[in-house]
Amino acid sequence: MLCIVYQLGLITYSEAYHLQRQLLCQRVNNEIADTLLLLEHPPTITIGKSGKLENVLASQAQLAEVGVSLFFVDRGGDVTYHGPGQLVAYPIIDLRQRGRDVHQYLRDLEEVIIRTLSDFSITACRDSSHAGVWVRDEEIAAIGLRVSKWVSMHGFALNVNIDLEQFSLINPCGFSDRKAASISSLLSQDVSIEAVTKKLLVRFSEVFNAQMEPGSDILAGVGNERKTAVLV
Amino acid sequence: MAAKVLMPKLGMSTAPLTLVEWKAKEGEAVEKGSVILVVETEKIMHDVEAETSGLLHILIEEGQEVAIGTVVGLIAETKEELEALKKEKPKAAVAAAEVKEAPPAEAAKVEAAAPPAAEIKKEERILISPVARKLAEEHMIDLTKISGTGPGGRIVRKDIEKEIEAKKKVKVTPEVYQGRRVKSVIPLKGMRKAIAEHMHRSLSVAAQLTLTAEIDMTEMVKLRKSLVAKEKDLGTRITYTDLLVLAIAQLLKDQPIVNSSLIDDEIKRWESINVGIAVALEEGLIVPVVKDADKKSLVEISKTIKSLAQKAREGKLTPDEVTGGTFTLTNIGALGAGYRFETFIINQPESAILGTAGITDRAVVKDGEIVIRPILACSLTYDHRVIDGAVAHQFMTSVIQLVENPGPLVV
Repeated sequence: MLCIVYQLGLITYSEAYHLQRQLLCQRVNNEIADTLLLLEHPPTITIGKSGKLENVLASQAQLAEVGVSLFFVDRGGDVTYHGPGQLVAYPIIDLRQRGRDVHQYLRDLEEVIIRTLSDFSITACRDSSHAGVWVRDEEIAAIGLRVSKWVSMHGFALNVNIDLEQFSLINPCGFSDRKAASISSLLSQDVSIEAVTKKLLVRFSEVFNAQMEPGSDILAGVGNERKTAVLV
Repeated sequence: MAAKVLMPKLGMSTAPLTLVEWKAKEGEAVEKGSVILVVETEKIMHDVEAETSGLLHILIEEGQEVAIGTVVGLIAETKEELEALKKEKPKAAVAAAEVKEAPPAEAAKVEAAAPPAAEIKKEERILISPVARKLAEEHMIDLTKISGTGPGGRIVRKDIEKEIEAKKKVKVTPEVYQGRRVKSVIPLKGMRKAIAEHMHRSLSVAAQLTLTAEIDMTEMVKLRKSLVAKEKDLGTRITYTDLLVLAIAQLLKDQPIVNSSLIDDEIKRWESINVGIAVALEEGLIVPVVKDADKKSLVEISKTIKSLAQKAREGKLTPDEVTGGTFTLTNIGALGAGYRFETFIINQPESAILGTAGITDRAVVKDGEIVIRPILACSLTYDHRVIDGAVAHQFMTSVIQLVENPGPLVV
């Protein structure tokens, strides 16, 4: 199956959200193929439907001071922090053509992340009670999804070389006793978003049995400079 | 019979799901296919759609964990059925439903409810009412930009509403594209796309140049007046366009090279004389064709054009009616007078197009005197690959002669 890839660079949460909604509509109507958005967000905390505000550990003033936005969002999951240096993937995938199993889809996304990390000699695992990918007891990738008319939106956020200090603003995924990790922190060397993107696209293609192709210009609303698509 | 709203099965897993949110209220009308319920499993939110249209009756409230296949609501066909369903409800559920039916009271109650234990732990904790939270999520409001006006700085509904209003105003500031503000965006599709492609292709494939002329319409104006006076007898109101098509059709018979097309290394001189008429529409333009115009009388031409123009405006032209042209006339007279020069673009694969402007009184010299005459400015764009300058001038001269002395046209 075909999957069109857009690499959007740094893009605000709400801009990416509206883009996803638009693509989801188009995917439901079969106007477009499966689509994968890869991007980074400016510092942003999001709280999922079942998330608790108590898991945000800073006051409004503190967040404003460090320039972190705070949104309630319509995905599953609790609290998540996004920021530069974190590779965010939003797959808009038609699950009608993949057996209509949201659990399997979630396992597949975890598999993509685990295999990508193995490319960097990092052994990561699942936690049977909590979706996401962990290295020992540290969370390296957070997952939160929404499925509408069997088409997915939202996705996962993989920490690459993000400033881990910022995670002290929250209890990641609602855990007060677990910390966040990144590829760079685990390897004690700086790994770039580009390097991880390359591997991730190969692994995504493998797990989802998808032929990855760069998109052209359907992202007209997103602005010209962000249209650069990446070829595997 | 009321339709059941079931907790859905989202794959192989049989684990219970959390009923997160009803997207419609008790008793509210829901449409088939619209999202009425949001459920959660693991970290996946899933939208549940109504399988039928009707009035929603909620059996299980938000926030509960429910087994797959459980009936969580019903969709009644009629109000009577809804009322009957409500009575069937167990007492506890009825009480819950009553609270739901009075949203202002519910909201007030929730907002005044005891603060969560967390506040005691940390004074500066962000606080928000459930109603405000729902609103903030729907409108994607950045909470760090809100100052809560509720008790203890709690963010309440009106704080979010205020921000939504402010956001709307900000939205008015237009999008900027490389230093220009964007007012709106028209997607290039349908008729607009066809026009864009045709026009650009025409200019890129043909060697187009334009010849302009001025025609004294004194006699033509008289002729048309007399024909308009006979509107009832003729059964149609004759226009200048009708008269010009009649004239052109006759002249093309004598000068077949103007009525030809360069196709695949061959110039095809057409036996058919099919005159296209450009019709302006709100969404663009279209060129229906008067087939065999040389074999039609003035009245037939007039009626054909009226019928084609009507169909064009109603979007009812058939493909056959917009193809097969051999020459095009575009009369922009109705768009206002005063234009004297315009380079029209050839409608491919034709080789020439005549454009005519509005009739304007101008000072001209006749027999050594300056006189006022009704003048028609016209431009002939032709494809030099097919038509040489001398031929184009010959054709234009014949147009001038016939239109200035239209007697032979209507004998």
